[in-house]
Amino acid sequence: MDKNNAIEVHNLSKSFKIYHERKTTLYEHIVGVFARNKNYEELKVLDNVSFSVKKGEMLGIIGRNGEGKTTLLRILTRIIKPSSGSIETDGSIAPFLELGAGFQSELNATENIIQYGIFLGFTKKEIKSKIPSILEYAELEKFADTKLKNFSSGMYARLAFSTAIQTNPEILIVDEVLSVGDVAFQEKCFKTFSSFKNQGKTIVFVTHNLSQITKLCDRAILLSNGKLNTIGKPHEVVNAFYRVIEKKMLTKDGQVVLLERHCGPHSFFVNSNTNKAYLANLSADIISILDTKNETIIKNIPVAASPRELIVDQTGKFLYVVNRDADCLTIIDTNLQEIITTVLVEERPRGIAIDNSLNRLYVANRDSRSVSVIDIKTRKIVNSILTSGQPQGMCFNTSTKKLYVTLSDNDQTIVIKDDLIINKIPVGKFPCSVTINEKNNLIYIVNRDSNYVTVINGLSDRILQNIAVQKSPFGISYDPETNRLYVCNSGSNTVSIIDGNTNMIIDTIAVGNFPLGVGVDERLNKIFVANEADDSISVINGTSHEVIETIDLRKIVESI
Amino acid sequence: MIFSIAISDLKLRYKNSFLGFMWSFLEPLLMLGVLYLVFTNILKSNIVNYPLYLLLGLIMWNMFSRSTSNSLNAIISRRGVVSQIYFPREVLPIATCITTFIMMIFEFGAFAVFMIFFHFIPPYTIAFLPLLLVLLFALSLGISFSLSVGNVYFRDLQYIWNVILQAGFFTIPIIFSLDVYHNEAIKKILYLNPVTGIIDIAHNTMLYGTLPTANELTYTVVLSFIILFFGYAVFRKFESKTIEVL
Repeated sequence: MDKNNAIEVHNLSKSFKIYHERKTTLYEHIVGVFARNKNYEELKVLDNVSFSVKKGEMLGIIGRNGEGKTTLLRILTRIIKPSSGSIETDGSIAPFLELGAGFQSELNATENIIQYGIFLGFTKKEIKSKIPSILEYAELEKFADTKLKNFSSGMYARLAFSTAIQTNPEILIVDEVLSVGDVAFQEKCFKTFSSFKNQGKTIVFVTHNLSQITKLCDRAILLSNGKLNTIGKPHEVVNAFYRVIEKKMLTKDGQVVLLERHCGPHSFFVNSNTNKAYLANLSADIISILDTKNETIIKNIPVAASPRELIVDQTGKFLYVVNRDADCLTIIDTNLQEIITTVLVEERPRGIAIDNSLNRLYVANRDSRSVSVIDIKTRKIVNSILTSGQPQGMCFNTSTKKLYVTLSDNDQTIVIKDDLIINKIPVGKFPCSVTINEKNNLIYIVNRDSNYVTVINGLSDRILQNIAVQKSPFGISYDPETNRLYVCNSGSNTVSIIDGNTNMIIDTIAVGNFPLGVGVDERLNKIFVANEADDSISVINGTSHEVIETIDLRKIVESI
Repeated sequence: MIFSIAISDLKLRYKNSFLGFMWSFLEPLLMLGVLYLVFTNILKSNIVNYPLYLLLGLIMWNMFSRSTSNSLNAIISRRGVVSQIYFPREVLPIATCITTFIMMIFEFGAFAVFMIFFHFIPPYTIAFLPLLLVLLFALSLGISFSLSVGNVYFRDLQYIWNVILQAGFFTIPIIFSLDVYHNEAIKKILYLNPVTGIIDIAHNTMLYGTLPTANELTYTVVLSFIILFFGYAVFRKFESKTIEVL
């Protein structure tokens, strides 16, 4: 566990058996054994959730009712155990779940404080010394000897909140309790939370009040269908929440309709050995697997939020997907076409690169300005390299063992070798994708806002030339068979073909709207282009330079 | 933590009553008084020191039946706290057993009053009493562990257990002596009930100064602890999911 983290959650899943008719007596259980039909369903409340909370951070959790928020909190407080996955915490935890549920109405306020404190793990002496301050905080000094059965529900909640808060925990787990008490008391709770935050305490809280999220939290999480949909800055997550809600909408005549969703194909990885193309649909949170021979979609795999870049290892066995808004890496078995696990990386991961000889993966984390180094075998982060800017695209040069990382915000490309930054190359504006021409040992960097591709010598790391392309180039792919490069010009809806020997543009082909990603099946000489804006794939014949097929992706969104 | 809960349980029991905590001593005294009147004047028995014999058996049996039947609700009645705060769940059945154990100590206080009343001087073998109480506690706890978690899953366990307790009462030498059976086989069958051994040894050591045989003693000790460990194992196995069922 990282020592800066207060909570780490790894691949957490929880399912409940939902009985159609609960069996609570022995008789029903005995009869149930003989009754053949299964009278329960497995309900997956949490599905492969991974995230971490830093020490001193305030994390908000949002989501619709029944999306697993409370279950997550109960697992964090160890009240229930997860079905799979693990949680690690560092520091004492105070739960603020159903407040006052543990009180006994026959005992008076003081006695209840003592008993509650005992269950929270205090000695009688410790809790007794805290009674005056608890009663003072709850503004219930006059009612110290009043039995709780005579309390109003507001007084009840105030007493419970005050007792739990006086335990001086390091981590607070709070479930929608801020809606208790009058406005003045709520204000007081907020102030206490703020002062706790200033003292460096970690707070995790669930709320339906979105303004609390943007006002109080450092980061937020959106849970949707038990999955971690988005993690990040509060306003981003609130926006994502609106998107999730708006997928479904109640019409005026009371009917629920599905709104049109955007698919957002973003990037390709083509494995020409198996004739499979893997497509990351950023907006639909789906990985599509295509058969490159007959250009059809074989399977759609729903993944965590915003799959952005993807890569397959040398063996072709595993597909690694970077989920931008879930801060994680999803590992998919390409044979089973199923998710195996997810690995937590840092904030807003973008690019990915692989070093097959050392069995290492590199993930560029834009917002935390770092490159995570992951061991492929253990699937654990082994190192984190800090960068001087926001890393975007990455590419690993197998022959020189150098990793090229573009920093989009300060127009540089850095060169990393043995986990150390050995070179900084100034390039064009907003460098994004990067690829390698293995034959001539050349590195190509796409500069989105300068409309040219920078060519770098793979040995000396010197800039050789800039190749002017069309407007807003983004994705790039190299074809070793023909020694050609394909660049997506997202602003002019074209693909430029560059010759890898002369570095001259051979041809420019018109494709769909806003092409971002490109992949090449070198055996079949087919080029696959992801058109983000119109949810389609253009398939180009590498010999005739013609678009031979356009695959409409909108159907996959509708089907899921 | 365990003791604090046990004591607050005890306080809660006599809450709202006029004499309050005094009842914990008065209640057994009065109850034993009634039983003494009934069994010595109406039903005559030929057991030596019959009133004390009767009281001793009852006190120990009460401890067993109270702790097991109270523990049926140990988790269920604390549903609020259990679903809200994490703490080792073992605390609940243990606290229940300690509560009843403390009640038993009070009853032994009442028993001492009767000993003085009857001018009875206990033999030196009374030294066995602490061991017997430990065994009784271990046994009660073992069964309480399983029952507390079992009742969460099968709510009719509480009715079944009440019937078992009723039946169990008559297999134990409380109102009669094991000597009424001349058949050794029956005695052996009765000894299958783990409480029988403890109470039988208690009678012999506290009232008659006879030591238990090595076999009897080993059997009782081993059986009590096996039940304790078995009960705990059951508890551990099912405890984690209780919240979901509650």
